[in-house]
Amino acid sequence: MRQVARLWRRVFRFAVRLVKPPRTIRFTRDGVKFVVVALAIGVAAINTGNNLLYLVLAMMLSFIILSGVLSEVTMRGVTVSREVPTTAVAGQPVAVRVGLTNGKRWAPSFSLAVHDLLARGGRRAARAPAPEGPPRTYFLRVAPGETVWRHYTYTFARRGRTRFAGFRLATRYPFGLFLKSGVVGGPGEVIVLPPVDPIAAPPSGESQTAGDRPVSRRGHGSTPSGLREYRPGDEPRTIHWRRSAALGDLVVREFDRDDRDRVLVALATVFPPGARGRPRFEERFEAAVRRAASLAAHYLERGYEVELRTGGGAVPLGTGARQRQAILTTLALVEPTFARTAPLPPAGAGMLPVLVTPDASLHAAEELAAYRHVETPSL
Amino acid sequence: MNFEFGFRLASYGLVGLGFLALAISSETSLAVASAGFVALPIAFWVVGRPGAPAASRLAAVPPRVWTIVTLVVAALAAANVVLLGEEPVVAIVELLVAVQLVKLLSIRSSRDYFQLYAVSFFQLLASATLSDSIGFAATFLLYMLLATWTLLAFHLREEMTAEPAGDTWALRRLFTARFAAATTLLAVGTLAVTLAIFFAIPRVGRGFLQRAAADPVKLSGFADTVQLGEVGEIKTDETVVMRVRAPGPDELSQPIRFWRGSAFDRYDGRAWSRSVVDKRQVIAEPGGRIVLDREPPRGQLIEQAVLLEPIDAPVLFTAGRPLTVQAVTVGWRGLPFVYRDGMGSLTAPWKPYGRIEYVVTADLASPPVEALRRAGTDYPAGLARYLDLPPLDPRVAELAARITEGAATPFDRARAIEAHLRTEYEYSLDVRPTPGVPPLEDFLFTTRRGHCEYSATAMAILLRTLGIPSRMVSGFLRGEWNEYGRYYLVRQAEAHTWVEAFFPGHGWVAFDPTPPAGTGLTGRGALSALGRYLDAVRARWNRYIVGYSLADQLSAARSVRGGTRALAARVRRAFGDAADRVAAGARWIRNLEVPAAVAIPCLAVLVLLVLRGRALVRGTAMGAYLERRRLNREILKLYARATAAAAERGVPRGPSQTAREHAGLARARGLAGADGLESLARLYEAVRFGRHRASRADVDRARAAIEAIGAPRRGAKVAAGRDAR
Repeated sequence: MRQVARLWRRVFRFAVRLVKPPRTIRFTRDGVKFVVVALAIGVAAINTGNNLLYLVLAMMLSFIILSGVLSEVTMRGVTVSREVPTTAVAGQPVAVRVGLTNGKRWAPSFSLAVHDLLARGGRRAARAPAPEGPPRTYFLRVAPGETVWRHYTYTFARRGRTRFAGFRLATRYPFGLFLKSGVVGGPGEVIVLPPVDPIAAPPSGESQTAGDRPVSRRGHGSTPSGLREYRPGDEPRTIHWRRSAALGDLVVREFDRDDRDRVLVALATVFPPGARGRPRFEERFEAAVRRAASLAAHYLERGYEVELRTGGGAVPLGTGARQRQAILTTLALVEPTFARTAPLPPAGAGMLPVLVTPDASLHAAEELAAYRHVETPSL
Repeated sequence: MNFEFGFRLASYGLVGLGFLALAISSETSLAVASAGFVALPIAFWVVGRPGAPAASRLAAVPPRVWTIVTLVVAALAAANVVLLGEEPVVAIVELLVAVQLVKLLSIRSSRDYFQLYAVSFFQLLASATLSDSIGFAATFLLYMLLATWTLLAFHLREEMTAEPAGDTWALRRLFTARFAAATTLLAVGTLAVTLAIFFAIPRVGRGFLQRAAADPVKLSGFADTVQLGEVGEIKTDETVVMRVRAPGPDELSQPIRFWRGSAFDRYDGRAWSRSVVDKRQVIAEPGGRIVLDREPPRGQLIEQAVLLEPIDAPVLFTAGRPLTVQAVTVGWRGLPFVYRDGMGSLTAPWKPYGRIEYVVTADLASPPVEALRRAGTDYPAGLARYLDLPPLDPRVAELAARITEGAATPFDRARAIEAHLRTEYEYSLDVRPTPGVPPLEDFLFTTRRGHCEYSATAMAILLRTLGIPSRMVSGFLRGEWNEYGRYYLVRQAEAHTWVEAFFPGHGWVAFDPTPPAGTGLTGRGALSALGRYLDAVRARWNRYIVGYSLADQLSAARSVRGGTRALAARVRRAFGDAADRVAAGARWIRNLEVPAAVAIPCLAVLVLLVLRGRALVRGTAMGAYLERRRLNREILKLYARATAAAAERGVPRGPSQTAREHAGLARARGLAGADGLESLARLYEAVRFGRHRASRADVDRARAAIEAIGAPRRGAKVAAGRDAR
């Protein structure tokens, strides 16, 4: 019985779609004029009985019918896909690629505008609505079976998870009299990373316990451990010029990694309930996230091992681009939480601990003392 | 061709067609529209060309100036109407041309093109109200084809230029031969839709503002009095009076000679008139048919559909003895009645100031010559008025006697007079009357030349002097047969008069005493084949487009209904019993009394299931079953492909080998992808002989296995499911 009901629902939906595809049709300005003139000619034709006026009226009506048919042909069988770079950063323009595939066998699709729709709801103002409406790309012609890629540049206002609802296909083809539009699937999401600023004065210092120091690891310490061939990306100041001259190839000095090469970037994300009422707390928190991201990026770019800890999770020690992406992604999604006990992330041993918090006064002094550096970014 | 160039060419072409539409609409418009024709090429090459010096100079003119110029032009046009009494229509034409010229000069943005189109469209509209000539048809056709293309190109161009990163290069590439062909096809499709709509829009009568024909054809010879010589004046006029669809000359046992209009019985020495007014109404039957004569036909019964141009006399023309007449399009009320006078002339209740069409059935019989000879002179009473003579020169009677010397019967006498007038007199339109001499005597004895009116008058009077009742009849000669449109084309120049004489027992018989030079078409008016073809097109245009009416729609509806009934009858005949059985089935179904509310949705579901069944059952148990079956078949096919691939690479599957044995052999021979083949063989066996249900993953793995072996070349022998179960 349930099967039958389901089948019936499907049949009904299919019939509705057949009769009335999910499209909206609006008159354009020209379309309104056109229809008004057609109506006037219709009245004139009836009143005069002049068949040539009927003929002209028929021409206008056939243009309207043709508009309906051709715009439907151009929109049928069209699918849209989207490629968003994983490195989209809040506040910075990014090129989003939109691919339009014409799945029809013989008819090309003409003059299609694709509006990329950002999902409603979701995280706070992650999708601050763009003043110029949803981003738009235009496809003049897509041959049958072909996929054409275009891109639009878009600036995501805030970090975080941004969801796409799909695409709105719109066309005024063929005569610009009507604007026909419909929504096609193409949901997706992108994690917008927090922006990264250059760090002018990075915190630095010895690790707390000397015994934790690992030995014989190449790094950026001060003790030279040998020479090796130059690889692109090495700092020019590490080139051993005399030896390079002797060998005829560039060689660089290698240094032992020291414990200052490991950095813990901790971001305070759990706060006492009263914190919410502090002036401009949200902004301060965002600034803190941004600062944490900047610090992590700064150290990673310089070859440090960096670990991220937040109130809700951690990215274990790591280096390089992959670690950077992992940390920035975590920071993109981090949200402040409020609890009676608001502990800071534990400061691990053997690392340079840097705490970033929107407001140092929210934390207990003994907890703060665990960190060598506490940063409170100013607005 | 460059898109931009093509677009501009099409746009200016559309403007040109607007001017053309005006030019063909009337003579005054032609003069005004010529200005447009002169300006158009200049505008195209000098002003509109991007980068032309004139273009940049004109672009510098502030738009306000153009607005002021347009307003001044409009004010001038209004002043012409109010102060100089110019026809408003002419003023509108002038205004439309002037506005278009200003627009051509001030074109600078994409929107300006749109306005050009709008003005040219209004020009077409003005033309539609001013003229209904065949020229409009040609212009409209071209306009429609070009407008489809131009509007499409305009839209694409506008969208593209509105794009921030306007890819004009894409536009250029767009304009290929295929694109042109597709848009042309589209335009033709639009035309078809236009015609369909045109014929389908219900015509709600004639309308209050129905335009009377600007100048109806002025006919001579159909008024109450006809001065001798009047008809001659119009014998050089080529204006079309009517087209009559009737059987062609080779389908008739007896040729059509005349289209009879009016008859006259009294001649006063200078003019013909009717001595009595005895018009009587003949009222239409309920179907609209007016029965004139209930006597059965004696000869060939023919139907004549007369499409009469607007004329200034309410005469209805017919050939032969009319039996019935019925209006096709005569106003929207049809013909409620016609008048018939004692001489058999038919007149409509009103002057047809628009084109009218009526159908006449007529008997073409003419009595045999021998019977006429035997008719005798036993004239019934009441024919005296056909024997009245004006004061005549005695030479007239002498002439009659001399001509008919030796003729034994009235018919032979009439024949002799007819022959005499045809041979002894010269046909001429250039009649120079001798002052002071009555026209008939002048013709008979002095000038001896004249046209049909003189000949007819002479014969009628000569017959009367011999005591044979006669009268003069005016109408038209048969006209030119148009084999393309299957109609007779009758012009003013075919206006004619002839004589009818009475023979007891046979009635009135026509004689034509005009010399042959006056009754042929040769050398005058005859159209070439091309001319006839064009006239047939024009006739159709007039009939089916300009003259299309509610009556046509009704008759079309009737014929469709009749057609479907006839088809049903034919099908029934063709299928005989089967049809009866179907009918019985239909009755059975009807007797079930299933309410439509149930039947229709069920039918809809059925149709949907047939059309889109698979998509609809997806996700249901039925769908799952179908899907499984499809996948199983897919596995069988894929295994067949795999064996074909293996065979191509030197490991054919022998007739006695099982699938697994074959796979083992492949492995032993070191065939690439043998592992895949082996697992596929197992899967195949499971599907083919076991109850295994293949999954999508199975199909994917099978495909991968074939990839690993290397796909067989196209057309390789693939035998699916060879193994018997």
